[in-house]
Amino acid sequence: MTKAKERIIRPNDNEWPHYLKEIPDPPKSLHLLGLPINAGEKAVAIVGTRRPTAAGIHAARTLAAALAQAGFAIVSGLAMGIDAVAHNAALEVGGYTVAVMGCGISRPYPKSNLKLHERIAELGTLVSEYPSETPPQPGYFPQRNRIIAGLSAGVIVIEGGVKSGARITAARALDYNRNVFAVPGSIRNPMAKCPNELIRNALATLITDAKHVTDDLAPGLVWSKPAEGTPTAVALDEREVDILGFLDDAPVALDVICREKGLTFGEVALALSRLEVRGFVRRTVMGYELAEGGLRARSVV
Amino acid sequence: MLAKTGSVALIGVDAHLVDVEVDVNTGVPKFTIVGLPAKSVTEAQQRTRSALEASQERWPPARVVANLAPAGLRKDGTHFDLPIAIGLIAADKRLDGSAINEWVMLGELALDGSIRRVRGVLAAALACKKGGKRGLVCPSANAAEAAIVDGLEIVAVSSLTDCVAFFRGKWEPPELAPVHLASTTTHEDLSDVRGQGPAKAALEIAAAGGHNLLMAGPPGSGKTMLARRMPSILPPMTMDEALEVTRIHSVAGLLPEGEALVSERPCRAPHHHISTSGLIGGGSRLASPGEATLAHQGVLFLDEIALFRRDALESLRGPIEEGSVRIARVGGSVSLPCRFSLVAAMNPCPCGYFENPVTRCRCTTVQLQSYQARLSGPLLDRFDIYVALSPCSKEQLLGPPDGDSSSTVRERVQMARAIQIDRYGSGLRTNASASKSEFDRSVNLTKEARVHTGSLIESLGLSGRGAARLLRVARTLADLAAREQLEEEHIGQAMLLRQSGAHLVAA
Repeated sequence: MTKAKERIIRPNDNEWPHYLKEIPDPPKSLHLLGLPINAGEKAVAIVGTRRPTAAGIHAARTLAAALAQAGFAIVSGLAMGIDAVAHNAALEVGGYTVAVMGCGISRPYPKSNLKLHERIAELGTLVSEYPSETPPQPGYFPQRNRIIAGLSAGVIVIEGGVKSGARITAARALDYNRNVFAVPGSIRNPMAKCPNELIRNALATLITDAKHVTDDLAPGLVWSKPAEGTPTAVALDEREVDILGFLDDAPVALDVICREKGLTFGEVALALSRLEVRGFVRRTVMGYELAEGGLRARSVV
Repeated sequence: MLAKTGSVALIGVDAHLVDVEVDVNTGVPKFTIVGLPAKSVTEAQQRTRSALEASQERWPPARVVANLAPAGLRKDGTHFDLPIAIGLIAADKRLDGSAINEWVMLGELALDGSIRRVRGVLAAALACKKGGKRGLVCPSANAAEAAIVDGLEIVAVSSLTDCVAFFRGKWEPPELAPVHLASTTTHEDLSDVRGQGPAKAALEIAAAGGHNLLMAGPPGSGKTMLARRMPSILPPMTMDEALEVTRIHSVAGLLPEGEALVSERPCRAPHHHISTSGLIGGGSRLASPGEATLAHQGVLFLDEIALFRRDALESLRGPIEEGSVRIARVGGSVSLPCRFSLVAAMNPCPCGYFENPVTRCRCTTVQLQSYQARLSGPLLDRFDIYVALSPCSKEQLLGPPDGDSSSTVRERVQMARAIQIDRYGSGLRTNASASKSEFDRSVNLTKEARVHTGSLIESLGLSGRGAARLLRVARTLADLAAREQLEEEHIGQAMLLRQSGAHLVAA
């Protein structure tokens, strides 16, 4: 495989995304690698924390996959966490994705996204306003957020702290008069602070499904009825159901579970271990949180 | 004339018998000590001279040579003052040389002729008995530890005058009270710690099965309090164990004055700046015991384990497995015992608030990774049990003590240990330290437990080693519950306490 060559586009070029002409502080030029850039009215940015919870990952994956299948370009920042999940989900369903980087495009940063970087160079587009070999610097990342917002018709905020990069991207999108969507989260989840705050201040539209996004961005789009999944038999005893209901998308400490449920460590341990084996809960550094399977199971029981 | 008596050289935690020969001869007045003496030994000359004169004894105006034999063994310590002084008086023909021949003496002289306490008296007493010596002369301040060894004549002296008078047959040493193992009275009780049910359970399991324990939790959640209470739930020491511990602490000079036996299991908590030789023992000339050896039969608590020097931590790996440290020096190698329970604590991240429900963690991903990378995989493998602590609620902090007291927990631990002694045939083996074949015979799962373990291995991708560790912890849980078979509940608990390493970096 021959390595694709980096190219530079300027505002007068044909390839220059016309959405970038509408923003007050556009980049002077863009360095590209991969397919011709295709953003604008059919592009949605998905942004969020580098340290997502299971619920955040779940939301990013389902939304990115559904929107990519509906023909939307998924724009994000190639960071760890939500960004990487969104890029990957789009590529998995054969969709198109744009990664706007905070450093030169020939520098895969962070290292953990090396594979993803290669795949996007092949199946999507890598974008940066910085020259090829520019090393990452803290100040560059907030700057690239304006390009993420500028390239997209809408921005979906999934998880983020109050002062997160996701909050900056949302603010730019509001400045540029783009749609802002937010996926709500638990009040116990510090990572849900940013989306919850956006919704509370009426700056973002609350969404829980890809259809909510397309209703605003592509009102004509018709969604086929989702295929009924095979019903999974969930056989849980009373205590397991109780603990599953108590857990959250933010980690809960073992001691807190014992305390709040009035159970001994041994009792909680058996229930939690059974739930973990089934993929309903996930162990974290300090406690346990709901896993994707648990989110689904909770809607069944 | 030549006089001969005895003393000891301390190497590691052992005392080696040394002959002290003093020769007073005609020649230019001069005093020399030979036989590889360290600075602390050569300085004996100054102390001896002043002490002799203060005790109205003569400093012979002659050529004096003191030889410490075997001359090739390095000698350190101030306890050679007394044998040199007594040998000198005898060589000066002011004391019957045959009276001091069969004795071993230890004591540091003060300039006024009184005798100060020294280190390693118990080790010396044991060496005397083994070497068939008649008795031991030691400072009165060390008399209690010497009295532990029976069948040995102990002469406790507090001044050079008394000592000389004893050998002239003009003074009788005081009777020493026999030493018994005191029943331990711990001042720190497990019920002092509020809440933290899972962590207390983990501590109990660690104590019962000899497992090493790793705790993670935010600042102020009680990690140190818990570790300090580990000795209070371990079984009380037997006389033999107490003797080993006392000998080590005596050599290290840590025995409190007047205390004969260390009756409570030690808990050592070295600071994270400690060097490798500080931790496992060593030093440039003589192997002095490190914290690992001082924690023998007790608890070694490494607070903030991620901040310890990497080389120091790695040096612990062998000793944890073997229960002893081997230190090789130019003059030979020394083996120091170090069978301890390892308890380590760490903050989950540099700021301490990772996944904290109240305070936000401010660490970057890079910081997190480099912090957690400080613990190597092989070292983490030594921890069978991992438990995360959360901050106490205010109800717990203000409420009455909760949970079982140390003595209740200790009874359960002793019972579980008794089962293990039955199983492995020796108190030295526990569920954690039994060999694979010894342990495998004891694994007997119920049907449900077998199914649960199987699905665990499958769904969590548990490695062979991970599964083996899980079973060992589950075995301890079953022993605590006095069950023959491993039940599903034991597997479940062991699983929640597993130290997978994978939980560390959540990025």
